[in-house]
Amino acid sequence: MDDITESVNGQLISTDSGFDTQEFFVNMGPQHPSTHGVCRLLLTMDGEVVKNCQPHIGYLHRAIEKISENRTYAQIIPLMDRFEYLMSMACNWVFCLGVEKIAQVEVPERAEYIRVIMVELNRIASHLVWLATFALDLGAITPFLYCLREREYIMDLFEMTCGQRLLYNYIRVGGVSRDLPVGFEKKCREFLDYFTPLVDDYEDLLTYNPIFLTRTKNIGILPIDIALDYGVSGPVLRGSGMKWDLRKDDTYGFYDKFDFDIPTGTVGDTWDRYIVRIREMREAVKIVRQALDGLPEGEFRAKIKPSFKPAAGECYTRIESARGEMGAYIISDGTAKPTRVKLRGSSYNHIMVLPEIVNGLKIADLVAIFASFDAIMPEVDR
Amino acid sequence: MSKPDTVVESLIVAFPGKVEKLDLEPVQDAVLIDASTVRDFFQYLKNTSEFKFDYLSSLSGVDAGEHLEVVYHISSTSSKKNLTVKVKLPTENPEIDTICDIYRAADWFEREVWELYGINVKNHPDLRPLLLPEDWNEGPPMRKGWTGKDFIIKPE
Repeated sequence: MDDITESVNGQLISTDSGFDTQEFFVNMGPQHPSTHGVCRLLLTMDGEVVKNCQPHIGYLHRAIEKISENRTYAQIIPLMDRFEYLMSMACNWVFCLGVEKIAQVEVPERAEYIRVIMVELNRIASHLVWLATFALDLGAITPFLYCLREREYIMDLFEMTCGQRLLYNYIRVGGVSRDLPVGFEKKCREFLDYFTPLVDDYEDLLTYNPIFLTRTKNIGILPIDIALDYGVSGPVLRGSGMKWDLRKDDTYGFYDKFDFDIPTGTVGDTWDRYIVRIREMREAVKIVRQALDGLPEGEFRAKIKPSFKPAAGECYTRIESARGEMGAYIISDGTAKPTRVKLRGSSYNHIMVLPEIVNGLKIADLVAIFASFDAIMPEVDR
Repeated sequence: MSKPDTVVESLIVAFPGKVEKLDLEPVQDAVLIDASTVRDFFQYLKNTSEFKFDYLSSLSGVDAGEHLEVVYHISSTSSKKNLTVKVKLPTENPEIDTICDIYRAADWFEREVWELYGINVKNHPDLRPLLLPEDWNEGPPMRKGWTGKDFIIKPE
């Protein structure tokens, strides 16, 4: 007869069921709707209770790092789009930022502003997809329809700017590939005015909804010390109460010129991670507005020769993507192709930390926690 | 503000003969450490050092031609310093100590270095293939000389 440890609202209680129980394995994934990609979780279960969780990754491994060693810098940027497809602008940026540092390229001021506008719009789009799927995983269908409707506006703005809706190849070494089109500013402001009150709508649907609270409050608490030890970053780390945002703490681009807050949670449960992302959408709107107000005239791209060869050197650059610290480690030997490109995605660490916090929880809570981490598999497998 | 060199200098003082300063443009703080001192060094960085390096950003393997390298990018959330730590290893039978009990984040990164570069990570608790298939037998694919049946190197 086993004592089964069970969780009720995150509190571990011991129940003696009076039955003999036996542990068994459940393969969650690789094809599972709530793993958001092809991640396989090998779960050791005791009834409904997760005893152990072992993530298996690599189903989406495309060897981007190896292929990059065989491509010129300009050819690598489209590969970077595929690194994290929900925030392609940030992937472009982190790579270009590294190359610009090594080659000491001066980026025109207008390009820096355009980059901020694009990445923050992309952050909103990414958070909208997260909110849509997160709510869907918890059984709420309405937010899915709402969020994808608003995301469509952002996709239209991107299509207007660079012709692409998902994989942009827009941010290039030394600037951006083309200037903002005529009428972009007006359409973008229209979107921001339209979008701001809608965040309140999402909150009305979810934030203090009793069913939502039962599913998220005190579920999957991630303490700060474990989070830091595992290299967790972004909204997940901020949800645990740590005020750490690379846009402010290791600033890059023109982020030090903008005024915005870093929302943080208090206990680090699923609900905190939710509310941090909701607030981040509002902050992103604030940043885009400031960038549109301050957008200077001038060049949008520095002059770069087609046969671009940076000096020999290496650096690790990191930026704050929608999911957390996105890093690129680039080594150049002075030729047209890099010696080594190492990509670091935050979802990698988020899946690594998962076994630490799911033990003793119900399998339905695991789904909620996984969704609240906003892990995206192309970023993990690269 | 302290001088950019203070982190490196304090480390050289703490580990005489085992740590040397690296000049890597455009990185500011970088050190090359001896492979035998890896565990002591990271213990010191995390627990003793006044700069409190508590965050391991990334751990990468590098094939530099004549030798292999393991590169740690580490930072501090309190003093906001960044540090690059390099270890040089021979191409034949490269071995390095695990640091995944010091920084838990190193766990999967080290598995990756082991499978993609063939660097043996000593005392790692769970050295299984991570990204590659379980029946992979074509050798470490990120080595520079590696040839696979579908891998074509484009001519210049």
